[in-house]
Amino acid sequence: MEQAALSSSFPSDQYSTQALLNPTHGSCSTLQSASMTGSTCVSHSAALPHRQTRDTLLADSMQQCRKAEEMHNMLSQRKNKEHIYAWKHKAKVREDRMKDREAVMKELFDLRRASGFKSNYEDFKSYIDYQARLQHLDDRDTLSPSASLTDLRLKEDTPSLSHRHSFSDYADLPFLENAKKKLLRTLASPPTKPFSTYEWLRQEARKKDEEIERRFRPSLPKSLPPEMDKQVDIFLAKNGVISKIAREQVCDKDLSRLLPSQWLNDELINFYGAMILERSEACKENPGANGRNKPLNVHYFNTFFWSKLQGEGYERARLAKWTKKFDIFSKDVILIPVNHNNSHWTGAAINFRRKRIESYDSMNLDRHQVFKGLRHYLDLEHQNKKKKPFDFTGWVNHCPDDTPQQENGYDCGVFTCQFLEALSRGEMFNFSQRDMAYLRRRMIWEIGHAKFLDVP
Amino acid sequence: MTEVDSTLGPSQNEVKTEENAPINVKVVSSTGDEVFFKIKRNTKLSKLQGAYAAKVGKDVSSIRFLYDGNRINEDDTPSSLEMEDNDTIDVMVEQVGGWAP
Repeated sequence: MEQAALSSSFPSDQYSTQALLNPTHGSCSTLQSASMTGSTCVSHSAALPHRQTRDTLLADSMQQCRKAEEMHNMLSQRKNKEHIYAWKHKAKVREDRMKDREAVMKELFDLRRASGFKSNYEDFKSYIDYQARLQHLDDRDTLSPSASLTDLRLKEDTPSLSHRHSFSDYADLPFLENAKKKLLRTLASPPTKPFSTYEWLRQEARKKDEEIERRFRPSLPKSLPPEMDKQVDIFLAKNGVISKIAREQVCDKDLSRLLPSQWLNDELINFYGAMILERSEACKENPGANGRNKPLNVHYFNTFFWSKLQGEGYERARLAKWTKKFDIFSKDVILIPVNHNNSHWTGAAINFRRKRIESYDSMNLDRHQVFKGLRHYLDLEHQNKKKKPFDFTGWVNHCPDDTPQQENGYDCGVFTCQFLEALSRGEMFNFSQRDMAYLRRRMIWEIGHAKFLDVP
Repeated sequence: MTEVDSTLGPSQNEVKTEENAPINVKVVSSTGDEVFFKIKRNTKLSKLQGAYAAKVGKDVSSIRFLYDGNRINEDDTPSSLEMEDNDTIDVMVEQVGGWAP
């Protein structure tokens, strides 16, 4: 409020100071031109002018000219030049804005802490910035081209480090105020009541089931056993290609992205996907001989599948050829990692067993595009392979509220890998934000050995 | 659309048979830019990858080549991938997700 008043009062006194501080530079030339115009004008008005009148006339017109010139210079300078205190004022505004922003951020953090957020303030800030950025990208255009669509011949356009920092611009004061309002509203509203007694009973039964499930399912350990931890460090110290599986490979550059607070790239996700696929296929030939219990018959589409489908469409991306060697309709689950605007990973699945199109987003954003895109794909793939439209009877979009959520701006890739891994076994998710440090270490071990760690 | 007709040379210890006849391969980026190559069936596709990367001025490690959705590896050849004449190779760039402070 105060700032607005300050800035509005500014232009008026800017005018006067400007005039004082910046005398016209063009006064000499004005004099010359004035004397010239003066003399011509006088010679026109009278044939034999009196010397005195001529001088006063000259002085008058000179003064007028100078005034006009001054006014002109003043106006043009007012446009081009900033007030001498402008930078100070701007700095103060910026500082105040930062202070306000920080205050609301703190408030928001305390509120979220009270309602289940467990990470620290730094992570919270990165989480909010990330959320703001993702929303900004979604608002801008839902169909924006991802980096895979950029012209390769253009200059390097990957965001530089400084560019990444500018993300925080999206989480401005209005965004934070809005987030606070929303959160307060959610906290104040009473829990939604079940629609009927039947529904209430079902809810209760499900809660009990989940409770039992939770008790039987051991939570993840805090860290790897020491000897495995050592192996992880050895993998991290290696150079060049670290590990290979099927057609995928991971280099040192990629693997280091599994260090804390790094974002994951396609190589890591596709490597993990290839491991999931291999486990599923090994199990088909040799049932029972596997680590983590009973993998389903899955197919894993790599990270480029979604980019192709979304960017070019089924026909132009020639997606029919991707499945020339197998029939997706004979699988239990199709797993699809989804890259949003080259800044977010989520997991999606076509679940033939449960007749569901599923989306798992650790930022819990609106993902109707995923459902729309995958339904479109299913239909066209069915028409292509089975020569008739896909029967969507009984199919639902599934986007559960209790999907584990990230509490920072960088763990989405790890969440996505873990979603896909659990889905490939038809299991519930047993991880949360606090397991990410452990899971990152475990993924390095798993990718380094190209096999999953056997956990009971 | 760019069109480059470059025949990529044969690799060593390669048998001259009719099966080794060159085929035409189209390399397409997601923006729809196409580059054409003529390559012998037993020539490693890594040569094509290198030539393409040089043409678009990118490091080979920063771009991914896909044939029918599968990543093309260093040792793959058109015949090992069962490629046919006028087949298409897709080029993708690195994808990331997240925000690192």
